[in-house]
Amino acid sequence: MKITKPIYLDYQATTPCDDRVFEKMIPFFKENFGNAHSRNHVYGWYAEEAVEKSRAQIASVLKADPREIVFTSGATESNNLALKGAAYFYKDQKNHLITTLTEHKCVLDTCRYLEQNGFKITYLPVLSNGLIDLDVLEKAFTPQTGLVSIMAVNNEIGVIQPLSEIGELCREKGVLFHTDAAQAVGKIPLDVNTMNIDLLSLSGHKIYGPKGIGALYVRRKPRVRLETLIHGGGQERGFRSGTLPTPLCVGLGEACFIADQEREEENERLRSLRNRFLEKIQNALSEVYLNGDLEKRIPGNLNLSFAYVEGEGLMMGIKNLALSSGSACTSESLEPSYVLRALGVSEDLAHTSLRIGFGRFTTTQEIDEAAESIIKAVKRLREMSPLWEMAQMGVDVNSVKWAAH
Amino acid sequence: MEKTTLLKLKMPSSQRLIYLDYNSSAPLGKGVKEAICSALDHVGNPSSVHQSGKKAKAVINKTREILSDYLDVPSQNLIFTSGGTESNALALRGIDADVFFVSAIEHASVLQTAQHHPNSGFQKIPVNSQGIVDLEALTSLLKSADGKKVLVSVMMANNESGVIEPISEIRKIVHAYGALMHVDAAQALGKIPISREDLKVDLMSFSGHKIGAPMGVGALYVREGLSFRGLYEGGGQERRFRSGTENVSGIAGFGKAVENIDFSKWEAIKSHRLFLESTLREKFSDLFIASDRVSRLPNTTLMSRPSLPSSTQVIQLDLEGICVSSGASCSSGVVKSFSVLKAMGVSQEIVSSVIRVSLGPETGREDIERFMTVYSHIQGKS
Repeated sequence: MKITKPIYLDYQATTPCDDRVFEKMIPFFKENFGNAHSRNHVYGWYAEEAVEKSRAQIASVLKADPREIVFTSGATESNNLALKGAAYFYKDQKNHLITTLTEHKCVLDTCRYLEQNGFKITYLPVLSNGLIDLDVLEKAFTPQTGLVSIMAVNNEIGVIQPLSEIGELCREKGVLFHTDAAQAVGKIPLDVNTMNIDLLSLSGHKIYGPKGIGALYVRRKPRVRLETLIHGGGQERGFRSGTLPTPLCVGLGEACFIADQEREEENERLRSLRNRFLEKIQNALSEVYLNGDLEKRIPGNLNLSFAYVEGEGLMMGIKNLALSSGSACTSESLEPSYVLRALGVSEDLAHTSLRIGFGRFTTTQEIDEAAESIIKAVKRLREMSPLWEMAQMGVDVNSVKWAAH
Repeated sequence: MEKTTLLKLKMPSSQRLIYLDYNSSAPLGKGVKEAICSALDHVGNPSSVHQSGKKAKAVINKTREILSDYLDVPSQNLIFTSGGTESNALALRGIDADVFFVSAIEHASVLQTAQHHPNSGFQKIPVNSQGIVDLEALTSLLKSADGKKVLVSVMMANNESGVIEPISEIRKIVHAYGALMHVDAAQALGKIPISREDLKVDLMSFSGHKIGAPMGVGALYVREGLSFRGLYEGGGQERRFRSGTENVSGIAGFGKAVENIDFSKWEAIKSHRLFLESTLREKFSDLFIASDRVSRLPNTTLMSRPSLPSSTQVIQLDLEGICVSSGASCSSGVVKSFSVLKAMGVSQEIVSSVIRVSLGPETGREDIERFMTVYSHIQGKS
């Protein structure tokens, strides 16, 4: 029996490691296995040189100085380090942080943790297109505000927040600006200086690099200080102790480099794939809703709600597609996505949403097959649905009073 | 800058180099690279519910089973981390202790985490001249902390001298006083057996790259029922103790490396080390070897005789293609000299000339002979 692999459409959850990245990493697993911190011998020097090259590659994508890049185990650690690190370092002067309701879970959970430990947090609402309202942000500042954390690109709905405007506002108020850019590298141009970003988190496995590696950009001028989470050998200028995983560092650098080099071309290709997909869906199905702004969005993401179908049934009907209905971290629970709820999407529609992520290895054929599968599944479920039937007959389903049972 | 130019000119092939710095990092073990590559080839976030995600999850769980079988502890009590340093930070920060008692020879990741903890006290437990934890001093510290929540941290084997601490004896004292105990077993795993008795402690840290897994992966054992919290907030991976997408390829490699553990190889390593020590002792009557009268890791010799500074010796050895260490390879920037000797009360004269030789499964007798020839030459005796 030939096992057919499902079509992978979950590029916001994770991405396959690019062969070009992979090839660069391999020698550092075995032949050049030295500890980058071993200053005593050639194995260590060679590893160190590779790590420093990677650091420079990452810095160059962000228009930063290599000395401003701190390697971590991934974006979750970067976000924790940025938020807890800054909050605790500056706690005697400032105790208020601003974030949004649609951040990645690790930012929201870190904020909740800080709240339990005496900090004040403002969770900004977002507009129905998923973007923040800059006026609302401006009003949220208090003299106690020490840090604003707003993600660059949302992991569920792909919308791009106005980083430059946020950065300008933060700089004006003398407040640190952190952005979770895990989904942004290689998708949008980033420049920590023109955007006035003080702290920026990124991740390897979201950009065709390996899992288990990420970085935090920490501004040097004016210097941003952080309380350390992991003490020890004092690696990474004391921000983050622990032996650096040389091959993973090399992978992250190369992944950043490729993603940035190919950004424009790749965005163009993905945009045309996405338009093709969306067109097919919209031509075949009515009552499909796009969650999040279409224009201010990375081209590799769609988040669609299909009215009058049942979420679990829909997932069962498209077993040949690997995609998710909500963020991967939380999709083991059946709670509707908090991001969609923040957009004001009704619970029913949130339950029937699919996050469709396209990426570097997505082909036109896959797009066509995926669209066909989804169309087929939605049509079949709607045929079986009494609600759909009622809606077709012109009944407002929301006005129906259901009998208890 | 000279260094970089040198490297660009030639990176000596590993065949021509004699690597005697296994305690700093070990090369990948057999089949580990393949395990890593196959995991890297696979797409899927372990937290995703679809097939691709489940396969990635299966890779992680397989390693968890391997490690659980090896240590004979329930698999759900093992948490994967980014390495020994994070495991230690997680262990100490995860416990809401009033005070930490840590041995004076702990790795910097334990010492500094304890020292910098915002709300907890910290005291060092002294060691004797052989590097063994002073049990009487520990007992009086525990007595003095009556009523407080105490976490004691003692490493199983020291990275610098290789000294092996009497873990179960210490644990019995610690538990008798109602305190908790953490053990950093980063250097012990794979080099000496870790018994069920040892694992009666509350927390134990492991590192991957010290046993032939890649860098960037480690684990922490957390005893069932221990009141414990993670270091990072987020997706709640690893039973909520360690949020963040797992280092799947690293974890795959870690599993293979644990499977590779084979103490029969260490007999040969030990005999090489004994050969090294006895030959050099005969030659140099004033040779100092740390912890030479207590049980030590089979592969580690921390040695010195008052002569040239450590760094000079290391550079000279390196020029001859031999890699040893003169200090903990932690801090970027300066190499800190070995701190263990100071805690053991060794004279500054000895400390400033010390080098660490740590052998591995690929070390041959001819490597030892070559090392001794060069070392003797450096010492002015050929």
